[in-house]
Amino acid sequence: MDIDLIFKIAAVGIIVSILNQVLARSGREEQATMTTLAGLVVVLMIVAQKISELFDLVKTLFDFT
Amino acid sequence: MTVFLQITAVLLLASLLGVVLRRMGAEFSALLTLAALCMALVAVGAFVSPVLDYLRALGELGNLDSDLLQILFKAVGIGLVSQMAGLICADCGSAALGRGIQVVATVMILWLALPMLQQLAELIYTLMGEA
Repeated sequence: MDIDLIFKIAAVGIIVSILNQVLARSGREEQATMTTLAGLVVVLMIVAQKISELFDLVKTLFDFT
Repeated sequence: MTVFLQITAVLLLASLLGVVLRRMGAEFSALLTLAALCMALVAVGAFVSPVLDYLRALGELGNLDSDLLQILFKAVGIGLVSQMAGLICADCGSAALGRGIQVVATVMILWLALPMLQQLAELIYTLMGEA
């Protein structure tokens, strides 16, 4: 099991949140929003791979053609 | 047993990190939960395969039609995936979407079971005709 993945997602979430707060308090709301969106896209790409693995496994195990 | 403890530890860790992330942004907490769940289910998948193979062997011993067993397995797969997806949606605050997944899964399972139901109806009809 790739436990690093959990830490990666948590780290990205914390970093993005901190950057979001720093940028928002500096008055750069748009950049804060874009940073959050960028972090979300990165994490979403990682999670999408895992979801794809799970669905492939379900298809193989339960005879879905 | 080791795998069970590893999976439990990972899910507990993900749950605790999720609490921290929820304060900062619910979206990352939801993604963390989803990733942890996918990892755990993929890890446990290796243990499900021998069980399903044994059930197939039992089916062959009992002269069960393999198509019927396949329908059962597909129904179980759909049920498992839909339940997990529904719970994730509920965690994200979209209970309606979660319920929608359950309804779609129910319809799909009924559609899969249609040949089985037709065979059952024909059997009952035959028995009633003989009686």
